[in-house]
Amino acid sequence: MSTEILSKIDKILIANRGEIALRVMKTCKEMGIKSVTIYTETEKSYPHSYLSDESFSLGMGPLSETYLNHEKIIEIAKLSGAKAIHPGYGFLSENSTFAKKVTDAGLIFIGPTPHSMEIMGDKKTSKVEMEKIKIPLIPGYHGDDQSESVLKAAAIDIGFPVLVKASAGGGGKGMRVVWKEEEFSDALASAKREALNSFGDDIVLIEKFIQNPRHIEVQVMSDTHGNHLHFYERECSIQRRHQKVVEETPSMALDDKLRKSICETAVAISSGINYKGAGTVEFIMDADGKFFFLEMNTRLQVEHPITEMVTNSDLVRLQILVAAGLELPMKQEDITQSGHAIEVRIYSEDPDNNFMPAIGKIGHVGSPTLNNVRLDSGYVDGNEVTIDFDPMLAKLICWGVDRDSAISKTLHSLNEVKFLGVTTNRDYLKRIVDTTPFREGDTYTHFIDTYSDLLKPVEATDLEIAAGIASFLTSNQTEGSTKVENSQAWNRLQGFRNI
Amino acid sequence: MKKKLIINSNEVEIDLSLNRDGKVEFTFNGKQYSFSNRKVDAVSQYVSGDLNALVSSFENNFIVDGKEMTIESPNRSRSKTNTSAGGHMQSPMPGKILQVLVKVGDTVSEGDSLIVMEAMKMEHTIKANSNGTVSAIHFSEGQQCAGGVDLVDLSQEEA
Repeated sequence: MSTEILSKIDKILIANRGEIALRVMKTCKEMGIKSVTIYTETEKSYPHSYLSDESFSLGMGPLSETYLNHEKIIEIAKLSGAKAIHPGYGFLSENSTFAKKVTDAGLIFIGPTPHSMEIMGDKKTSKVEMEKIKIPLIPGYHGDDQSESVLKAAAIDIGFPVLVKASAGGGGKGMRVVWKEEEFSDALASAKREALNSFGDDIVLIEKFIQNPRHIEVQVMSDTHGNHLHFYERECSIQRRHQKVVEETPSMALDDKLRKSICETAVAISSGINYKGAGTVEFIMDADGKFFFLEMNTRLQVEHPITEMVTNSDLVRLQILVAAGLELPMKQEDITQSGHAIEVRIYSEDPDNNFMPAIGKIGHVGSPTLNNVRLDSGYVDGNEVTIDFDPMLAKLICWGVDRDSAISKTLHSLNEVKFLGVTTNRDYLKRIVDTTPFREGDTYTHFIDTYSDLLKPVEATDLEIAAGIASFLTSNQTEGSTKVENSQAWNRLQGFRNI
Repeated sequence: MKKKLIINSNEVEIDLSLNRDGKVEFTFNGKQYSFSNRKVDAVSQYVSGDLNALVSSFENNFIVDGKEMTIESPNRSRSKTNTSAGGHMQSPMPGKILQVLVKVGDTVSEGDSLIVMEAMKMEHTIKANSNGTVSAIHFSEGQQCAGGVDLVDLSQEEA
């Protein structure tokens, strides 16, 4: 198998940065494939810029001139002798124009065909396609007439609450829930503005807003030999402002019958559009177990590691294999779910101050010590967290024999992965997974709003503060002045006594 | 010896003393603590004695048994103690002003949206922290701003 792949793809350019660049690099190293990375001049201290076999500078400037610069990236790929480009996620991963240019340059694009990306990349087009193959859809307006009066009439027709969504959107940008008719105009303007800023396109669609929904998605993988497989579901209901925060698999909401039904629907989609490579079909599921197609992401997903842990597979390896034209080395019945995995996303933000993004220097990342715990991070000690890129610092993925064990491991590991020096949502994540509703599987997309009282910070006790003070008093770097005032005592304190 | 510290932006006073063995003790919130520390790795100490805790620190950030806090000397403090009592609405971090929703002279109520800014690729709405009148706006739409600078000033209403 290896020699067959290597004869086609022996060097890959990773058109991304941070943890996802490192993630793809890891599989390259395991397969004996050389990796090429790219970086901007301000990123020379970040590990993706120096851990690959070769790395090339993109210079400086806005994203359009660096990570989104098609020509420059393809030029570097050719210069380095890479045979294929892996786009990671975000950036150019769902850009069909880029995928076409890569192929036209005689390189392999590790991902689906530009055609599949075009169908699924636009929420409107994808729904039209899904209707053709009878996939269940949420009631909504996906029309071309974008005038406010028509959109508002559609919203009234569907019935409030409705969701206003950017057609080209993703990651919760350009998305608003509108509860009342009076709020519609403001919400529409705000969604359109954010959509225009983020995607350069302000076309929106309107949908019925489903209350008490769960976000369930299915990982699919297809080769070019007619094999369309699924790797089961992930539940990503714990979201804040439509950004996923905690993901897990298996979902507590699916029984065997429902699981089979939702996974088979996902495969009906991937085979229906003759998909190639890794993809994720996202569904929204209501309290009665009725599910509707939301969208299909034509790329690897941020939360893919939990699937890898539970199905004991390497999705990046399979992507490369498919890109090399090989047949998937397993049948559907060989893929099983074992144990339970939870991923939490560590963001540089302050949950106790309105989730304000935080910046700073990471003094110490820390590493998990328990078995079957994985930290996917793009940062090392000493790195600066700046406003230039996404505030996600790392993903912590914990596998346990069952869900309770995965929760215990998450709580423990979040204490070990400290990201000292930068304010993070680490403690907030602990509060989420430790709540009774989460432990009982009462996970809905409004979980964070509903249980906000349970997620409030627990004040440090006097004893904990005193321990902090004790440590402060003996730490040299912060304590120049006191040392002078009371030098005798400090000299004595320098020899730490072991007790 | 009395000593002031800034803990989580609040001023705290402790009383330092030496015990008979010549070890430092301190009183905090009415309680006396004696302790020993030992360094366990580059960033962590184990504090024993009255306090049994693993403490990691970097600059002014401390984590005690998983709980985060900032501890600083007042004269070296980098963070401002809570100043939002005044009517200066500040930018939480560097970013770009997308929309200015008020003008000088407008009367606003606590919670009203004043400015929409973009930072770290997300929209943030700066809201009024009290009732008042807009007395100054320091940025216009499209401008870049630094973190921690005044965006909008409010003067308090006399009720």
